[in-house]
Amino acid sequence: MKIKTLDIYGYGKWVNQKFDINDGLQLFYGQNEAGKSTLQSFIRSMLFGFPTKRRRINQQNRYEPRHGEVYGGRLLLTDTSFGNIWIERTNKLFTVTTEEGDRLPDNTLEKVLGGLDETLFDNFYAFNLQNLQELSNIDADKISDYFLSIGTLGSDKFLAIAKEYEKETDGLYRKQAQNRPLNQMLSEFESLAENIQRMETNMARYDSLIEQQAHQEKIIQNLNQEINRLDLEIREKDKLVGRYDIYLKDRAAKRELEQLVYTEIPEKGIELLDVNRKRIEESNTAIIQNEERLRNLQGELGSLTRLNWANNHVDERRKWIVETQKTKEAQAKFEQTVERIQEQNETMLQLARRGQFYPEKVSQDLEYNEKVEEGLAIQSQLDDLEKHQEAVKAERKVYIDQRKEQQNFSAIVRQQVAKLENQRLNEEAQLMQSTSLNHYFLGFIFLLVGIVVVMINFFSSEGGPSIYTWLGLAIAVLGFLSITYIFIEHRKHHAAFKNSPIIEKITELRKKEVQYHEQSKALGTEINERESALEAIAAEIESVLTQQKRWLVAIGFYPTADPEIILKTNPVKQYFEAKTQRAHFEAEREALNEKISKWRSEIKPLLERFPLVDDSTRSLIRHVEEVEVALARSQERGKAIQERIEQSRELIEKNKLLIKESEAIISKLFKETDSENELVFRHKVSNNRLIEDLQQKRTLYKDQMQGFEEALAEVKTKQALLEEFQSLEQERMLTKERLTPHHNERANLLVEINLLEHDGTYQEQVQLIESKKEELRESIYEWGRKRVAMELIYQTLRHGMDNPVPEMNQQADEIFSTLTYGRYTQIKLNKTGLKVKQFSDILFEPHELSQGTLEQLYVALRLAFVENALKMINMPILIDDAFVNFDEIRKTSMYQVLEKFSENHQVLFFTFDLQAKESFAEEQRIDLDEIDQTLDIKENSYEKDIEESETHQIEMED
Amino acid sequence: MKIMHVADLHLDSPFKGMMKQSKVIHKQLIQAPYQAFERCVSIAINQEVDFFLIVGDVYNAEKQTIYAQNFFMNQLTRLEKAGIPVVLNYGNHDYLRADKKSPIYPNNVYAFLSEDVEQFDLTSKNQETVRFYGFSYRQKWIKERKTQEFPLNPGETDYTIGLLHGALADGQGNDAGNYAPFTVQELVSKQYDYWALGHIHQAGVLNAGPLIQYSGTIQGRHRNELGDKGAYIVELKQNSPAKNKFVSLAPILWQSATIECHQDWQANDIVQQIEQVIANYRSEAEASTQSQILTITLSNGQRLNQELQEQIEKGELSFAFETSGLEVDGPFVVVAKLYLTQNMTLDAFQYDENLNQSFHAVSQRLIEGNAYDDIMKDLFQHSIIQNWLPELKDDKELKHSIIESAQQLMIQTIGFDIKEDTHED
Repeated sequence: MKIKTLDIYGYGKWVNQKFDINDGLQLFYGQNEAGKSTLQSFIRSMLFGFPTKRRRINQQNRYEPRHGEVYGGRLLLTDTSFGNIWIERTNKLFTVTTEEGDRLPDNTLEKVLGGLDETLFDNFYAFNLQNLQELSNIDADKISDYFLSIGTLGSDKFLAIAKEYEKETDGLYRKQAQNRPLNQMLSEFESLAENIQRMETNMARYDSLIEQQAHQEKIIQNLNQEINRLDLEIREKDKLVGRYDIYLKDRAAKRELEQLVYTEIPEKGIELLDVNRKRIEESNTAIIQNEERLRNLQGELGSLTRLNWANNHVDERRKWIVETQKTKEAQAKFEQTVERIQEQNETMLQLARRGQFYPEKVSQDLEYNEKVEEGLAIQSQLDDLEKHQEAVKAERKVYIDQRKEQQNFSAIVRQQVAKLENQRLNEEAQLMQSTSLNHYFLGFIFLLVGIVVVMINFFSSEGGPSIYTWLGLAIAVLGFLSITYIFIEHRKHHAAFKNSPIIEKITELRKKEVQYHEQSKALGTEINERESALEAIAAEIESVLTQQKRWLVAIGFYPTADPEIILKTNPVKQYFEAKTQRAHFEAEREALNEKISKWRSEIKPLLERFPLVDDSTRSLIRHVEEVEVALARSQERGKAIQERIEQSRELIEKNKLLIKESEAIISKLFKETDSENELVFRHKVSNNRLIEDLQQKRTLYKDQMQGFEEALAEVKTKQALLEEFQSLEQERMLTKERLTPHHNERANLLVEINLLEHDGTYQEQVQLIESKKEELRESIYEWGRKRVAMELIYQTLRHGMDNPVPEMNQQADEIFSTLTYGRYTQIKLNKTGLKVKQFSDILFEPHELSQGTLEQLYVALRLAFVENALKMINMPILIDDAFVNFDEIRKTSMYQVLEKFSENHQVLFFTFDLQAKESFAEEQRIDLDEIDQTLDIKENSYEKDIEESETHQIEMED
Repeated sequence: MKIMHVADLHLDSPFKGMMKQSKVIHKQLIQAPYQAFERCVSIAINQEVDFFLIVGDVYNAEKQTIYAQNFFMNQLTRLEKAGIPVVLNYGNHDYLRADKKSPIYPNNVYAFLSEDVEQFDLTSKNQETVRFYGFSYRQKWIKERKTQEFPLNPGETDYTIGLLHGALADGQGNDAGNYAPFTVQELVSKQYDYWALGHIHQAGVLNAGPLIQYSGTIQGRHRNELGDKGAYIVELKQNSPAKNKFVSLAPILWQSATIECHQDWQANDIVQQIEQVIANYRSEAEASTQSQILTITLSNGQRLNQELQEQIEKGELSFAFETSGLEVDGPFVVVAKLYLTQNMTLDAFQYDENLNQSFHAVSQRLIEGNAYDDIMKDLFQHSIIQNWLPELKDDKELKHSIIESAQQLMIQTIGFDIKEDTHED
């Protein structure tokens, strides 16, 4: 297959562009951006479809035209199995037609391509710089493999994929690793599995547990049966034990009955006896009680001694009581009298004190009366003196008043003088003012001025007195007149001052003052005279008073006593009257006292019987009265006791009668029963009762022993029976004890069994491990498929490598030799690897070669392969500047090889290498730089657009 | 006369093929077979059946868990209290080992203990006499044709019923011969009134007159045990065909769904589709109160882009059917597994005949030769797998899926343009 024509409708920068291409080598020369890559992409797109998101393996860019042109174009393919065909592909349609325009089926292209897809195409038919550069990145040990793989189509890529799988699977699992996911999963699985295995051993235990449970159950059942049997036996024994006691009692009752005799006794005989016995008893008690009471009462009566005395002295007692009433009155009177006497004494004492005399010194006789008269005389003398004294004092007072008046007048006059003198001083000051020298000043001025003017005029004017002279004269006259006037006025003032009336008045007042002074001096003399007279009278009064005192003492009064009272009221007389009264009262008292004494002697017998310590009359009276009351009460009590004694006596008699009755009944009873006494009777009664009791008991015993008679008869002793019973109980206890451990064992087993039966953990674990298994399977699947895929690749390739095509080898040798100018002559390919042979027959391993030689080797193998694949499919080779790094010599040889290669193959060589351009003939090349400059402009402008929009965007982002 | 026919309880058998689940679901899974059987017993009591037949495989293994045993005993006791006789035999899973005694069952239980065919004569509530023939497994396999030992219906009772735990000889898998194989014709020829079969987990009527049928398991435990599971209530009447009623028991159902992938689908499209499927089953679950475990197959996975396929394979889409939200009791819907299948040819190297041959040779060696074992031995010889999971080595399903997936993976990753199966065109 060859590409004859590229007809581009619109693809990237290319619009409506058509290229005719050589069958052999076609060089596309152009600088960067000239559209080389776009053209290559166009070819790919036409053959394999437009680049899409999904298919972008080797086409990084999309090439939709920018200006709305149709996207796509068409290719004219020649040398296909269908002849020459057009492949037309746009964004709207895809057609395959013959050169003549006949439509072919769409899958025609697929057939033409022989199953080759874009990836493979790129792998096999496209060279670029990258392919060669990759060589340097391959490890020394891998490079041999790598070259080997070129022998098979695109195997370098396959190997890379296989390596990737290996890496991925190693990441998932490694046999010796621990932490790889699959390894981890495995150990998780193992721990789960072990866990389950442990649980399974538990399950084996379950069966044995069930068996053990059954075993225990059986043992327990047996033991329980044994216990039940023992229980039954024990119950029987127990009954026997209980009844054996009864059996014994029955035997005893029988024995007792045998020896008891029954006596006929009237019905209720014993009750009758008891009742009457009780009655006798009660009556006896009553008698004893009353006798005792009687004794007590009589004793009580005897103890009442006053009663006798009172009964013996009835008459005397009556007399005493009457007398005592009288004495009570007398006593009251007596006490009153004594009180009166006391009062009188006090009155007398008071009178003496009030009368200011000493009672023992005064007397009531004539001598005393005379002495009183003497006192009267002294008193009148004293009164006279006092009157005189009063008169003199009045005179003195009048004089003193008069003098005071004179002195007042004098003072008023002095005040007036002082006032006037003040007025005079004022006047002087006024004068000084109104006659001041200052008043003259103006006048003098005028005078002087006038004189001066006249003088000047006089001396200066010879021509007669001028007007100024006249005027000066006038002024001088005026001044003179004024001075004169003022002087006269001053004189008038002086005169007025000297003739003032005040001076006269002062003189007059001074004369009056002298007059007053003399009069008061005369009054002072009078006053002094009266003073001396008063002193004389006072002395006289003093002597009279002394005389009076002496008198008072003489008549028995206190010296300080008031003579006037003594003279006017006579206190001594009253005193003596009171004294007489007292004597009267004292007589009365004596009379009453006598009466009382008499009563005292009368009541002596009473006091002897009822003595009293207090001897006062009043106490005695009360004592007598109280004694009398007590005695009367005693008499009453005595009477009451007597009555009770009578009562008791009656009761005693009555009870004695009752006793007799009862005794009669009893003795009758005894006779009937043939009993000697009560003891015998009672014994007989109790015997009867015992017999009845025993008989009753025996019937009861018989009932209780019903059915056991024989067994009971066989019992030897109670001890033996009890021993049997105890031994049974012991046995039962032991059996029960034996049961306990089995119960425990059974409970334990049950718990364990229950635990196992209800433990769902196992189910859970089994499900868990199943899930884990699935997880594991999933991982194993993942690991496995990649591993297998890896092996699949390796082995598929190895298979290819193992059987290299001989022609291809030969071709490769040729190309390699040409490229290296014969330095290397042969490429040796076999299973173990690849070696190259130098012209010197030395073999080299690929890693021993230089980078340049490696690249040449690569190209040689690739080209040889393509050459070889010719049989299957012949496609044009696309070379995209693969050799730019070759030196000039290598390039030359390279281009030679290409030239030769293109004889059988179409080669589309895209380059900007100038050497390439020059190496090939002009008809072989298309200079892209020279085509359609306008488009370049377009593109530039577009790029500018982009740039602008980008800068714009950046700005915006800023 | 009413008979409850149930088989293959597999009480202590876990759910297989489910990754780690939420606690609630985990609990429900464990309880599911128990719930199912408890329900079965309740229904039997309510319906007042005359006989309760359990045709083998009460437990999953000859070594039974105590919990399961205890549970089973309790249920038998329930039936005893209701006065319903139980006739049971042992299946290949819970075969009665020679060294083990049969457990002590309640008095209403009639268990076939011998590997020889035995009989029980019982009387129904209406005083009809019934004879039951049956045998039990005393070892894992019974290769003899036990049908030969069942006698021809002697007609001594009103009804004759056979209990048989075994596999239909014609085409029920390769190892049918290990489980007392029989043919329908053989059974029909015995002229019994009813054949109660066990062993196959899918309920199914093999013959209508006389009625011969598997009751299936009571609870699906694996994605291959799809749909509703339960028991049969069979009503027999003299001179008239048997009435047959299926009773749903399983609280959890396995379901499968397929989603056809489309060319331009992205991850969210697939998630949406899965959510739709889940929603559909959720309404189902809510209506029937039966939880649903889904296996979803994404077919034509090659139509999805490479990256997305990788994501699905790695389980990165599982967030769409996370069960974490389902923390409440009650019916749930979970996706147990998401398969991605590709319908395409494996002619990856058709451009290079040499390589193509090589690829096919290697594939062949993987499938038939020991290449698979060589590759996987690195993993399968791990001590843990050798100890606990030796069966993985011989897991054909695993091998098949790994190889297939590996091929697809390789082709995809390498980036061949995928061609869908030609037969689709």
